[in-house]
Amino acid sequence: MKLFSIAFVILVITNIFVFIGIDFNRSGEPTSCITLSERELRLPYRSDDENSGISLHVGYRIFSKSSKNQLPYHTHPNWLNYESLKGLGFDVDEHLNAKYKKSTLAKEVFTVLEYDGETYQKSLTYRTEEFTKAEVLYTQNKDDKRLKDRYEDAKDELKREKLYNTRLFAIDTGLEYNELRKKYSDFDKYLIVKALVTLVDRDYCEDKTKVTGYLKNLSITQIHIPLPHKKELETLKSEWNIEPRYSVKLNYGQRFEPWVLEVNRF
Amino acid sequence: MTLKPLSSKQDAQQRAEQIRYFQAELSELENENILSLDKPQLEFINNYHKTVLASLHVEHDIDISTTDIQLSLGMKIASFLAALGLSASIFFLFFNFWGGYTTEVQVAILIVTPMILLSLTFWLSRLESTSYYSKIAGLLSLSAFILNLFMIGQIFNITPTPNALFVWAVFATLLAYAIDARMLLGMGIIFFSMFLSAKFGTWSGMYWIGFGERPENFLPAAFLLFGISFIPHARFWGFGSIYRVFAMILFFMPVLILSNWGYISYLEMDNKSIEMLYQSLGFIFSGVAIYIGIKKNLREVTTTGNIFFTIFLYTKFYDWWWDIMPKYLFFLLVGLSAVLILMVLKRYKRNSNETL
Repeated sequence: MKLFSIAFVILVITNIFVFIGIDFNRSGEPTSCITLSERELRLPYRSDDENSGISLHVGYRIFSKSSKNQLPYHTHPNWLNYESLKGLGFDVDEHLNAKYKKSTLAKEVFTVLEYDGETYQKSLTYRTEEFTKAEVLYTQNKDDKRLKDRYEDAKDELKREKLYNTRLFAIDTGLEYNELRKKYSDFDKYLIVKALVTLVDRDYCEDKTKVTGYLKNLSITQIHIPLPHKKELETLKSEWNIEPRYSVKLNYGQRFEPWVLEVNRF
Repeated sequence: MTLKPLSSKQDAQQRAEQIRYFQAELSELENENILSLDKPQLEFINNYHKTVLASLHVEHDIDISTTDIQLSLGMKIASFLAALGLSASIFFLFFNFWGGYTTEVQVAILIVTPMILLSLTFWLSRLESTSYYSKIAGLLSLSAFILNLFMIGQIFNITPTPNALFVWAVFATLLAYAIDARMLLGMGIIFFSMFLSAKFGTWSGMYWIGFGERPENFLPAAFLLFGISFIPHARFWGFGSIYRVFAMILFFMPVLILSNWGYISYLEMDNKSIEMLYQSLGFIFSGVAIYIGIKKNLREVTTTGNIFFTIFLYTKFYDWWWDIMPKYLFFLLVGLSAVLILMVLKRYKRNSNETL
């Protein structure tokens, strides 16, 4: 009887603590407040008949050109460099000087996601320039199939960049939310959320002894849609190359956990 | 007639088996005209044994015949499958319908379900002489508690935390001791090991979810569980064995992994040296486990030690010979080494019998 009673108390107390945490998260001013579209919050890729709930996947990218021949979209940006990694608490010198290299373990830090801002414009400019280059080459030699394929690909990439791809870009990291929020104070444009970062040795760096940071993933990658808002989305299926069909207004709370305020169909 | 009380189900089952073997041997001796008891003596002994067996069956729910043993095994398998099937059903049932409920209803269902199942477990444990149904209900209430925290985490987009592993471990272990359920104890041990490993990982500066990336995180849990296994568990049949087996798995699996991939060790040494170190530890400790198991009559320790010694040995053979000799020769050596081990064990057994 005693053991059952203790087990029952554990059930009750655990749930109480969980809801205290939820309440705390939603108390006070939100740490981020933003409206994102289907481009940034995607429906599940595969529909699951066994699961009647809907969670949207948070899509983000990094745009960072470290060298001339490198593609700019990847997970190890040049702003996650030696200084910033040291600032995040990684013992970079120990890693660089270690006699025996080990895989480093991830740390949870804050990352700044910029929405439809300067970085997106740079990405758009890059795609436009790539398209222009491919168009010029193809125009000069229309019989070359390879040039034609490159031109078509560049055209598709530009269209995707204008209409379909996520406009959320990771642009910075830090250990303190308040310091990042002082620097990126526009709530409509900057989300500050938790993410996992690790450091890696990169072969493509010009200085091969350098390390770079690797933004593994956000701590929360899926956002659950509660029933009242779910009705707006339940007739939709995940599709990639279409213009966005809905927008979602989100708040992030004191524990940097999100909740949905509104869902609007276009 | 006052019967000698027995403290545990294990003692009671051993007593019952002792009686069966005595009856079988007595019959054999009579058939070969070695011994013949007169009728009153035989009747007296048989009546005494019937009383003892009946009392043990009522008090400890033991198997008193070969048929009972076979049926018990079938019932155990059936109750295990029932528990697994019903647990999976709870998960999928909730997934199938939760999207159609408001958040308040979802939360209410998630919180109330484990409470109801826990109450059912309690009621069944008081009601039935055999414990199969209460064990099924116990496993279901653990499943419902796991669903409770997991789904609330999904609904409110809560950041994952290792603390959930801890409360699941405590809940499972409490229920295990409440209804004498080894499977629940196993689940409790698994959750506790994951929690402790995650905590050791975070103390070394990593994010907790990556605790599996450094197998050494599991070693403290292994040593702790091995220590706990020697606390007397007279009333709980098989609990000591469960602790020991899990402790050995939590020790030998990381050692096996690190003996092949030194890169993921905490140790600041070159990978080859780390792999050699862990290979040596693997051989030494599996040998020690076999020795302790034989000396202390701990069958599960001997068996687990044997299994891992064999794995380490054949992994080494593979490293040495797979690439440099034809496959038929490699497997011939593997087979011959097994024959050699058999000869050594047979000689040890013969010497042991001669000593007796």
